[in-house]
Formats: sequence, structure tokens, C-alpha cells
Amino acid sequence: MPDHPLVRTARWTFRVLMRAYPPSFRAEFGQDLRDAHDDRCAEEWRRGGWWGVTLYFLRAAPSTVRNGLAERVSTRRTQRAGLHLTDRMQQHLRGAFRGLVKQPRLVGLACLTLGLGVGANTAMFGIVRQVLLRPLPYHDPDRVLQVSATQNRRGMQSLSYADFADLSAMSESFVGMTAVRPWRMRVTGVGEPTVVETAGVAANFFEVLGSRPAVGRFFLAADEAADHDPVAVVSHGIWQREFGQDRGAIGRRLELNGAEYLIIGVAPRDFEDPFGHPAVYHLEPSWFDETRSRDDRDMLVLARSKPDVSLDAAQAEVDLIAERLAAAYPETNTDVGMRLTPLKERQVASARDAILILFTAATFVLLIACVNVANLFLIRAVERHRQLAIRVALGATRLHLLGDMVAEIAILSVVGGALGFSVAAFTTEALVSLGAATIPRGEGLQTDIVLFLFAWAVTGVALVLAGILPAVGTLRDSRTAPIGAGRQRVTPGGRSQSARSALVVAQIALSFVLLVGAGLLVRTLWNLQRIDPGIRAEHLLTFRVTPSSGGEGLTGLYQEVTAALTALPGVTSASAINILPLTGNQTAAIVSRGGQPATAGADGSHVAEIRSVTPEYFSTVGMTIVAGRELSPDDDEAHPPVAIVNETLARRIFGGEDPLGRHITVGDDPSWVATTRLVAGVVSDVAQVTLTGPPPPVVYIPHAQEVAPWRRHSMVVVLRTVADPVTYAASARDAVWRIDGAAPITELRSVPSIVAAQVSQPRLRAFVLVVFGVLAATLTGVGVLGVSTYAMTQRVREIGVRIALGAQRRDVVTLIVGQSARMTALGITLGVIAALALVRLLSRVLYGVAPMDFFTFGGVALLLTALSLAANYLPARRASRVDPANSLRLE
Amino acid sequence: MAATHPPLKPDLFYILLALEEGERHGYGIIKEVERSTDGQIRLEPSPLYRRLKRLLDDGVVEESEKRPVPELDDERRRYYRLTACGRRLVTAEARRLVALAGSERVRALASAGPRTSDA
Repeated sequence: MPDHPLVRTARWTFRVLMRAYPPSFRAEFGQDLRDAHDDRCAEEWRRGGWWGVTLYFLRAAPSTVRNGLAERVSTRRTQRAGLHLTDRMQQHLRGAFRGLVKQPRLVGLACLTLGLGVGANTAMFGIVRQVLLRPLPYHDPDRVLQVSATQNRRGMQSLSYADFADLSAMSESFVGMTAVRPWRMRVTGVGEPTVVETAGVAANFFEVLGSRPAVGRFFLAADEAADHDPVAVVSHGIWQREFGQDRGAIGRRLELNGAEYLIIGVAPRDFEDPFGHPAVYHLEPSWFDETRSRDDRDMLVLARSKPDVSLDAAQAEVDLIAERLAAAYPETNTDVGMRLTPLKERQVASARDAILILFTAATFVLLIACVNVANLFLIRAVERHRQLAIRVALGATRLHLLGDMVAEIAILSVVGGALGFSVAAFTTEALVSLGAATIPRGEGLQTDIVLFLFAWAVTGVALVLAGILPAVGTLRDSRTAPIGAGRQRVTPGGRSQSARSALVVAQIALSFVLLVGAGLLVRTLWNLQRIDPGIRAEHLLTFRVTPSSGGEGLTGLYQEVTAALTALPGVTSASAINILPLTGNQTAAIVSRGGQPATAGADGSHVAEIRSVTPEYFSTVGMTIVAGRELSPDDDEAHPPVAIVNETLARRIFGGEDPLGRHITVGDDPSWVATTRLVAGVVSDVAQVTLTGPPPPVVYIPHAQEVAPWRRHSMVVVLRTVADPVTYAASARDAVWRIDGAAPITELRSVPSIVAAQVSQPRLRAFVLVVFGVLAATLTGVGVLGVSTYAMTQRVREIGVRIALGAQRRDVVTLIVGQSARMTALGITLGVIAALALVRLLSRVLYGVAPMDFFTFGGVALLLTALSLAANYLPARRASRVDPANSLRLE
Repeated sequence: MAATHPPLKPDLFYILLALEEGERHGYGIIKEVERSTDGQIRLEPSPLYRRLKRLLDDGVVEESEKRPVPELDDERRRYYRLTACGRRLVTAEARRLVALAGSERVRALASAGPRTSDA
């Protein structure tokens, strides 16, 4: 029957008329509305036949049109109301602002907390980005690899030229392979005469790195031809300083160690040299000589892998070639391997651990900050709970309620984000001045728009994290809140209170981990600073002299220089050495016992550091002569060759025997510098490369008897003065220039500053972690104080009752402090567990202290217990002074 | 405690009342209102759905995932039920009406008319 034509017509007409409704309405309710009409038609048909349907149709059709149009109008109104919405948003914002202003201390604390947490995190992210994330400024930088030699699995960095040439010719995994040798040269012809870092490179150096010149061109293979004029590429820095960024610099000439080089190009501004900061790149075809010994490992080698060759595949091929070379040249290449390392890996490996540790620490600080903000939200939620029932009864939806919270988050994020970015900017400045440049790739650290955005993003995430718990509570409450809820103050526990206790436990645990980390690093720093470097560093001034001419006159020149310096008022003695301890460079040779020249690895021979020194070096720097004598001016060419060895070398070569009067052979090539020398004395060990490593064996050779030009030309002069060494700098320099007016003087500094530089990174790490630790402890103290104070105000009545019933004030204090002690104990327990899991990360940067150091753990536990008890005792004591009558009247 | 909100419109109250018993679809609401008012109020589908939309937007009514027993279920249809807020709202209105009906003046007025048999 509903199939009657009339019914069908009516149904069809309703469908048409329903177009009066806006599409959004139809999409949501169209189907249901149609069904309802159909049902109704069917029912009217049953009741009144065609007449019933007609009557219904006459009533319902206009109503459908009217309602449809009305719905359209009201929908349009809501839509046009960006207005409507912003009104509501403004309402929320105004409400949130009023609510927040009511609790200035709590809100101020939350903002400050958030700012510090975000700031710490943003600053650390700045470092992570600068050092770890920023790609090397080359084309496709991930394919640039360093090839380094290994011997018996120990890294040696450099390859011999012959090995490099063979590898380059035999391998198929690489697009190109290049070699570089860092060097120092005297520069004349631009600005004042000086000594700069340079790099002797193969012509394809820039091509393999994938870099384009800022101006001019880079090297071509043709430039290496023997008859070609020597050419050089200068760094962007030199171009800026010495040439004022003038393009005319191309084609000018530059004197390096007295030889003329034609400037053909400028490296780009952002170019990062893989091995240092050379001011000039030059081609040195004479170094790239296949006839040189495979033992002369002085080439740093870089390669660019082919796009389709994986690191493993390339390494496999290189291993194979190394084996073939070992078989072909057993004397020099036995056990010599070659290892591929992605360049960036090599650059940042030393810093990665420390940076990640500090970043983790910063994240902890942020988490602690989040906890404080979450506390604020919880208190606000309780506050809101009271209004909730009323507002819900008045028709507020969950969206409305959430809107308030979102508005609060928005306000706090504006304030917290701005504060956080300021803290980050300040922290970055501080890090730069504290020696961020000592971190690899650390130069140029600064705040920028990315960090700004990061700060906002972190703030947002932190606030949402902090807001989740209270928001869930609010939404749940919105269904069930009875009117008048939140006035009940009888229950001491309550959900919000237990949530807040959980947060405090988390804070204590996080602080524990941070403070343990800080404690371990401080102990490390303490241990490092107590290391005896082996010399008496105080009152020592040092600078490098590079005489304008080499050759025969050098011995006399240095005699004259040291005599002139010793004659200066306030200078007690002066001497010179080719490389000062702790300044990084090394020059090693093979040393063996007696008169037999030996090769590396053979029995009885050792690789030792070689130092050439002028007379009285040991007494000047304050080293102890354990046996034998100091070097004297008589140890010259006219007298038999002598050497002084350090204790380590004496022990290695001579074992228990007395080394005095015995001979050692230095070097392995009799035709060149190998000389057999009489051991004239034994001196104490001195830290050479790093403070912490074991001192290497060292042979000291009299400067007058040294033949290798690279160990006797440019020397570091050391002066012992009676007062602050830096005040003697000018007069010392003048004294040298009176003897050689064209000699560049570089690396002028006091020896204590060199020793201090050794601990600059540990100091930076310890400093940052201590700041974080103190911050964490303070924030936690504030958090505990806030929670206990709030709990007290909630328990005023309970306390009043207890006191009225005869409890002593002391009992009340004990009760409350006892409860918080359980919280603290739980927090510390969790902290210990987390710390045990995390200190492993630290083990590589610790010195002289075990990661699970009992005293550090115990000390931090005591500290946090004291802090938490103090933060609970104050409000507890105040609560115990409550007048029972008053507190009961409060209800 | 007297409720503070103004009286609800009668048809709105009946809709809430109909949903108070359990979840219903749109036509079910129409039928139930008709039944409980002895046919006095017959809702039109068009205004009913507009009203439902408002109630949904305001969080008084929500769509129900719970469905009646399968043999009574009409799969195509959407079922609605009261939220906690809607429940409070209808309770508050019921209380208001009871309080109103219980006041001396209303009783006096009612008994002034032709007497019916009272309890």
C-alpha cells in the first residue's frame, strides 16, 4: 500500500523540498529525515487512506521548506561568524587570563620554570644541530670518506703516498680519491709576515669534496706539471682580511716560505676543511712522489664513493687491496690495513657522546619543568571543578570546558616560549664564551629563526604534555560533576592529590639522575685538574719563532735568542723545543737499542716521539732529571751525539738495566737522519698529547745535533718569568725581532693556558650539567613545596580536628613529613634505577671515577632527602599552628 | 534547591522525556511523544531534526552506539540518547514542574475548577 502513486508522489516531493536544507544538514540528517517522512506517510495511509496522506502532506510540506530555509539562515550565521568563533575565543582568553592572574605566584613560577626548561633544551638543540645535524658543506657530503691506515688494528690516520697512489689506481668503488698534507708556512707578500696553517693538496682535492670556488677557480691537473708556476687557493677568511674581498686578488702573488705562488681562487665562505683551518691551499707535486718510502705515512686521504657503492662494499674492496699491498711490500705493509670512515663521523665522533649527554640532561630539565606546569594545571582543574557542574547545567559542552584549558595553554605558551627563547639566546652566548669553539664544528654557533621556532614547538609540546592529565580529569568530571563538588575538603587524598604526588615522585627521580650525572662530571673535572702535567706550568710564557732563513745559522740563532731572552729583567731562564707538550702535534720516529737500525714492529724497536731541545730546557720547564745530566751548550756537532730519554722509553727499551752510557738508534734510514746516540740522561714523563693518556716514549735530542730540518727550523721558545708571564710578551717579542726582524712570532700564550685548554671541554660539560642539576633540584624543591603547601591548605580541617582531639603539634608535623618522606624515598629509588641505567652513557667522558660511584649516588640521595624534607617541613609547621576552632569554622 | 534555568518548551521537554527512557531513532521519538501525550502532540519530522541537531551541538543529546535488540533494529537509522547533561536538564525541569504543581496556589487553582475525585 505504501506503493500507492499518491504515497510515492508525496515521498518524492519531500525529497525535492528537502533541498531547502543546507547541504551540511542534509549530509548529516537527510537519510533519517527521509525515513521519518516515509514512515509517517505509510502510517497516515494506514490510518486515513489517501485523505490522511494528503492532509499530512499539506501540513508537512510547508513546514519542511520553512525549517530548511531557517536552518540555512542559522548555518550561514554560524559560518559567517569567524565572528562567532572569535567572540568565543576572546571569551575563553579573557576567562583564562583572569583565572591565571588570580594565582600570580604559581603562574609566574610555571612560566619561569617553562622558560628555563625550554631555554636549556633549545640551546642544546642549537649545538646538536650545529655539530651533529648540519650536513658538511659539500656536494652529496655523505659519500665523502676518509681513508686511514691501521696497524695491528690501531688507527694511524695517515697513509704513505705510494699506498695512496696504489689504492687510487686499483680501487673501483670511488669516483675520486685525493690526498692532503697539513703544513705550516711563512707567508709574506700580503699583510704582515706571519706563519699560517696551509694544506698541500692534490689537484683534485676540491673536486673530491665537491666544492665550488667563491671566486676564480680551483686546481686543475695541468697545474701540477713541473714547469707550471706554483699556484694557490686562499681561504675565504684570508681573502676577506687581507684582500678586502677584492676580486682582483686573483692573479696576485703570495710568498710561501720564500717561494712565489699565483693566487687562482678563493674557497667558499662556508667551506669546512676536514683537517684544520688552513689559510692557503697549494699544490706540492714534489710531495706526491711515488719513490718515497711506504713508511713515510704523512698523507691524509679522502675519497668520494660511487653513488651505488655502499660503505661496506667499498671497505671490502679496500681490505682486499690492503692485503695485496701487504703481500707485495712485506717490510713496510705487514699488518697495515686501511679503514673507511664517513668524514662527518670522523669530525664529530669525539663530541657526540658529550653533546647527547647534555641534550638528554636538558630534556630532563624540561620534563621537570613540565611537571611543575602540570601541577599548576591540576590546581586550576580543581578550581575549575567547582564551576564545572554549574556551567554544565547551564549548557556548557565539553568543547567549552576544553576551550578554557586551550586558552590557558595559549597564554602560557606565548609567555613561556618568549622566555625560553631568551634563555636559549643567553645560554648560547654563554656557551660561546665558555669555549663552544673547542667543540668540533662548534664555531659559528648562534641563535636564529630555526631555534626560535624550535623553542615554540618545545613549549607547545611541553604544555600539551603538562595539560593532558588535568584535561582528561576535566573531561571525565564534566560528565559526573555534582553541583557543589570541589567544596569537599575532608578527604586528604583525592585523585588530584595523588596525581600531584606522582608528579613529585617523578621530579625527584629525574633530579636524582641529573644530579648524579653532574656529580660524576664534577668529580671527573676535579680529577683532571689534579693531574700533574709533568712540568711546572705556572710563570711559563711561550711562543713559536720561525726564523726568516734556515740552514747553518740556526743553532747560533737560537743560542742568541735564548741568551737575549734570559737577559731580560724578570726572566730567569729561556730555552726552546720543537713541539711543546699538550699542543697536539707529533713527530715520531722508530727508536731501537744499540747500534742496529730496525723497522717498526720488529723486535726491540719502538715508535717514540722525537723532540729537539736547546740547552737547559728541562730546568726551564721544571722537569725532573731522574738520572744523568741536563743538556749543555757543549752537546753540538763537534761532540759525540747524545740523547736524553724519558722514563717510559728507558723502561721499554732497557727494562731494568741502567740506560746511562748505553746507545740508542733514532730513525731507520741510515742514509738520512738515523744516528746512534749515547743516552746521557733520563727525565721524568710529561703528558704529551692529552693529559689523561699514558705518556708516550720520548727521545730528546740536542738542537745543535739535530739534522732533520722540520725539527730544528721553527721552534717554540719557553721563558720562565718571576711574575705573570703574559706581561713579558711585548719585551720578549722585541728581543727576538732585534735578532731576526723578519721572523714571524706566533702562538704566543702562557703555558698554564695550554694546560687549562686541555680541560676546557670537561669543564664545559661539568659546568652545563651542574647548572642543569642545580636547576633541576631547585625546580623539584619548588614542586615539592607547592604540592605540600597545597595539600596543607586542603587538610586544614583534618589537622584542626586532630589538634582538637588532642594531637600534639609535633605529632602533626611528624605525620605530614612522614608521608612526604615515603614520596621522597620512592622518588629516589626510581631515580637510582634510572641512573644505573643511564650512567653507562657517561662512562666514556669520566676520568678517575666509576659510573656507579657510591659516594656520588649516596651524596645526591642525601641532598634530595634534605631538600624534600625542608620543603615539607615549612608548610607542615605552619599547618600545625592552625587554630582548630578557626579551621572548623572554615567549612 | 530550585533550579535556576527558565522553563523548557513543552515539545523539547517531551523529546528529552522520550529519550530519557532509552535510545531512540528520530521516528521513534515522534511515536513515543505521541503515545505519552495521548496523541495531543504530534511532532513534524522537519522541525524535530532541526531540534535534534541543536541538542547534539549543545551536548544535551548524543548519538548512541548502543542499538536495540536485532529484531527491532533498523540498521540504517541513527539512534540518539541523553548525555549526562541532558539527563540533568530533564531532571531539573521535572523537579521544577513538580515543585510548581506542589505549590499551594496551583493546587488551590486546580481544585477551584469542577471537582474531580481526589486521593
